[in-house]
Amino acid sequence: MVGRFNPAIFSPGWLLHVAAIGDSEYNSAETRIIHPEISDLAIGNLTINVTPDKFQIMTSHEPFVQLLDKVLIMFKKNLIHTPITKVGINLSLHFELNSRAQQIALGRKLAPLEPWGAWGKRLDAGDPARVGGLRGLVMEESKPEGREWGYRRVDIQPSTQINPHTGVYIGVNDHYELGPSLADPGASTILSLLEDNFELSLECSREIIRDLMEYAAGIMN
Amino acid sequence: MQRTGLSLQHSADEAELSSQSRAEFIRELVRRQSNIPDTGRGDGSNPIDETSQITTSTPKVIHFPEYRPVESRPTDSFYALEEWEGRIQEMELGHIRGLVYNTRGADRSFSQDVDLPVDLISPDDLPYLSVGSVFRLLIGYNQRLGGPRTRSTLVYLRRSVAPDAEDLLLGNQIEQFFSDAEFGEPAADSKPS
Repeated sequence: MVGRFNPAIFSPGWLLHVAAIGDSEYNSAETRIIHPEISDLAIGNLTINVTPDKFQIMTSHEPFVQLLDKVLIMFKKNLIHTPITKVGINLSLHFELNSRAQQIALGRKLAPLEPWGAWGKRLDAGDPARVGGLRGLVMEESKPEGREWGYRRVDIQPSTQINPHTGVYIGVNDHYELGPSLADPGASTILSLLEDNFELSLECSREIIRDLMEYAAGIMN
Repeated sequence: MQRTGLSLQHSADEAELSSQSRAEFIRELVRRQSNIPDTGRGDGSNPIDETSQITTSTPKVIHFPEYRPVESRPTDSFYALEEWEGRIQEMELGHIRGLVYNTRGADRSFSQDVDLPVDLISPDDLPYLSVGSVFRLLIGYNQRLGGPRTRSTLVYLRRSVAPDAEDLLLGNQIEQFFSDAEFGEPAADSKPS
């Protein structure tokens, strides 16, 4: 979320006090730093990072709706006057293909070499160690249906977390923001947007990721 | 994860140094901090001579905070294959019963009854366990950090969604029933005034 935040507020003690986390989460909390300029916490399977202009909460542990619940408890119940203007619902996934050839084939489909001329031909070297190609691609859906503002961006690139020769990373950034007519000095409007769209956004992101994974899996099969 | 840390020690009379000396001084300190071999200034001149160190009279140490990129901490992860949401309709000893619908693109008007053991619920969620509470039921894979992947089921109670009024009333009636004299001490608010 983008807005104006006071990072020093966000401590495990405060999160327990407002019932955003429970006792066992509190006991597992690792405070990396709490400072007027940054708060960086790891609580159970959650990571919370707050700077004066940004609030981020992340997890790799479903149900992802727990993130929505915690954000609503923090901001809707306790910090409703925080000025928040933008919110992103991001879903990312790393998956592994069967072979390097399959990874390259996916890259060639998404970014063909023809438009790159002579240099493009050089990327297709016979030596597997010298083969080049797609390192990252971002596609954008501007002002998605039903929204006056915002976008949905999909980022695909070789994975750095699993085998870089066979892994693929896909990240979906669904970005919501308030237009000038919806300017709200507090958080209530953007939180309503978040609450109304959280599940729909994740469902859409899952569909995009699923389609890309199925396409990638079908290329060499 | 990459980390970058840097602390500089500079002399009190640093301000008197020429800009070239200051650049060399800082460059040398950075080189020492990062253990990078000095390969020259890039202008063809020799690297800084180790013997030509600037002496410090009253050292002042500035500690720069460690820079750490924002990223999710590696933890156990749970990947859901199916997910349902529902409300608790009945509670029995060690079990809850509810009506759920699938949240993953399926027809939400189609609901199913479920009977679930309470031990699927995290201890942190137990204080919120009551008739009318909204919960998520997930079936999927639990991937332990550095460990095996196992099939798993979990129940998550949603704290930001309050039980509706009808459910709360029913919950209160059940609580009243179990707190009657037949089962133990009467509830405080049920005593005649």
